[in-house]
Amino acid sequence: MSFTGSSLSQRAYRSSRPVCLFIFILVVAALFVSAPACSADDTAYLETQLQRALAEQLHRDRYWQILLHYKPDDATNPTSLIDDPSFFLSPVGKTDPAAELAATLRGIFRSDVTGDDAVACRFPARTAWLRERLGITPGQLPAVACRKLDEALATADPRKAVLVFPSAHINSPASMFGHTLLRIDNRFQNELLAYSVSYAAHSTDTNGVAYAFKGIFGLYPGRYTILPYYEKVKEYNDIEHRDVWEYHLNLTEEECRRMVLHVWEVQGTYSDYYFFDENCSYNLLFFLEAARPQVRLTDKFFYWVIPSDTIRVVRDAGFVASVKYRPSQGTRIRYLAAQLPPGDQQAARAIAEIQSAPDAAELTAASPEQQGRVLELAAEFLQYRYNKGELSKEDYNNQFHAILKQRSRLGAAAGVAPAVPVPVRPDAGHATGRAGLAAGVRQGRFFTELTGRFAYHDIMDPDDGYIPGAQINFGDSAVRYYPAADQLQLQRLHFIDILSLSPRNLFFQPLSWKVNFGFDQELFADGSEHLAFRVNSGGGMVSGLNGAGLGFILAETDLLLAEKLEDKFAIGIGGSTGFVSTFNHFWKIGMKLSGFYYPLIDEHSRLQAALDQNFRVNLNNSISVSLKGEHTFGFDRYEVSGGWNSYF
Amino acid sequence: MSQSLQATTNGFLGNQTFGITSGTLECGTPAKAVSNERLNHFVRFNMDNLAKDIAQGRGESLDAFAELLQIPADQRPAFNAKLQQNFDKVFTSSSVEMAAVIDNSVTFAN
Repeated sequence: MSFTGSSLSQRAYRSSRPVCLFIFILVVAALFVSAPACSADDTAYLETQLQRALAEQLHRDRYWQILLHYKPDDATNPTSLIDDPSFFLSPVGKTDPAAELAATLRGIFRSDVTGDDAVACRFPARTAWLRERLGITPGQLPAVACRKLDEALATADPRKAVLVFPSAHINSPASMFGHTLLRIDNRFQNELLAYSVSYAAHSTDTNGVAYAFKGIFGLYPGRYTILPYYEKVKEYNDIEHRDVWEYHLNLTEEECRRMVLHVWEVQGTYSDYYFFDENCSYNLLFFLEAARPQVRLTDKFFYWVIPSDTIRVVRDAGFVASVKYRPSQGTRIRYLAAQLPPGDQQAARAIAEIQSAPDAAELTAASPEQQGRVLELAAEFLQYRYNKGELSKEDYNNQFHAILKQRSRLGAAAGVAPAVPVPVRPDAGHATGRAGLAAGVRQGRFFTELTGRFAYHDIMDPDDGYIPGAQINFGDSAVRYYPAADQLQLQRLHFIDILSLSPRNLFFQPLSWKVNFGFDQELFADGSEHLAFRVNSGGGMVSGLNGAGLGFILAETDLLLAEKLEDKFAIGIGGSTGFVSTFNHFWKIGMKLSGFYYPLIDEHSRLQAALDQNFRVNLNNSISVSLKGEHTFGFDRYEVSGGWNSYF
Repeated sequence: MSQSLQATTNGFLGNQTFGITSGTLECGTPAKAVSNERLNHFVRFNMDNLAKDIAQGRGESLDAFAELLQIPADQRPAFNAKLQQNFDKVFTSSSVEMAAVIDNSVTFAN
């Protein structure tokens, strides 16, 4: 291109098209050429942000500790409780928060991964927080499309959150203390249509002992699962027969969203599941902290985490707006049955056992209301029997359909929705630890005693918030001092003491059982008392005494190991009987007679009678009074004692 | 966060009629109802409780069903009553399948 003064403008005009094209090419070239320059800028920008993050010690920030599950969060050697390497972007991320933060920051600036695998899609809570803290705008990051995350958020549609507590299930070691899960409520009014997030040991072991062992030592991988809430309700209410408590949380939509983003980060990863501490209930607390980081929940525990205690911690941190009770099918059947006269109960049972038809003449003679109640009870009990495997699918389908057809003909007026009375909330029960001070007289000798246990509920503790008749004691112990003889002794140390008294009725015939092992002071052939190791177990039947309490009769075996025994051990057979009753929520009486005969070496017998009373002073204090008599090796011993118990 | 379908632990499964305790089985798609995976899965998983609720004319599963069918709140009592009166037209037999239950119910939705 040549220039002559006079023709410049004209030439310029004439060549405007090529010039435009030229400029276009220049711009495009500049874009290409400047791509590395831009990238250099980005790299410089990233380096600046990395330095800033380090200078501001962002990796020590509370929120980073929460999102990565680092514990202990104030020490110099934090370790994440998550064991899955895929949760960390740095190879040393599990133990190095700074390295993990740097790796995350580098990750979100990478432009070579733009889909669901991009760091911003995989770890949206971390990304959102880093962007906010470092003031990074979306324009400064490579564009990514998180299709799966967006779909998940649209499906979960988080509006509100609920902490769900399926209560204890004493006959299963996995759920002895209950369980907790989260529910994420969405645009649907109906709660069944929400989603649940739960953390559980991934196990196929059906053997309770294997489960307990592996669970205690962290041999199961724990995983988060997200399911429609109606699946969980069916599992707990209808199949495991556990009442469910729903603690509605006062999280805002924004807090819920933050929580769900963190759930997304953690779901699919595994952590070793520890039954006692790193369990379902403990791990869910991280989600609540992610929602509301100013609240500390996960550092309120030390050696063991009992689900009901996590509920108390969440409540005390001000999360709970309201509480709802969802009775199990078993509870509903008991309630429906209790509303009916014995004849109608028999009729419902006969229908559920396919011994009579739902339109049998003797039933149709009754009023529609009465028929309705009988048929509704029969339908529930038939479902219960089917879930227990007591009848074939075909028999079930036919009878279920027939019952419901008959029920539908009675119309809506026949029967009202059962209003199962709401028991005392689990978090409104006494705390699970216990310590006490007692004094008494044994065979004329005065003594004082210190008692304690780690957890959880004794048959004589106030029942509010617990399942009546379900005793689980861990580490129940007593140290006794006889001042006259200046004698200090270990009175008892029961490692585990479980007693499950479940009443039988027309519909349920559960087996009641007990297992207890530990040390006790025992009376020997020379009339002296010494420590013996005991393993005591048994099974039997319990009556609900028409609502007046629990009356029990158990057949038991008793193994004793002691230096003082001729062959160092003795095996006894026998049993116990008695009752437990509570009056007006504050006065509990328990009476028990037990007898054992030790036929083999060191033949002897032991008869004991005890009358225990417990007076509830307030939520976490009670007074106990106890009378005991014993006849062993021909010696009689009497003891009376009283003391103060505090729950903590 | 899709509806990962996880079998419950009790270990007895059948086809998609009554007595289903897990939602792992696929089945026919209802013809009349708008194809709605959420609705299908809900009914498949809750056939028994839904049938019980319809027979009684009340209950949480019935409420959820009506909401999934987008029955306006003020029309629910009438919808519930119609389903109850026509129980044997909705649950035509003891081996009725999920898709038919939805289709049959939809005819009473207007």
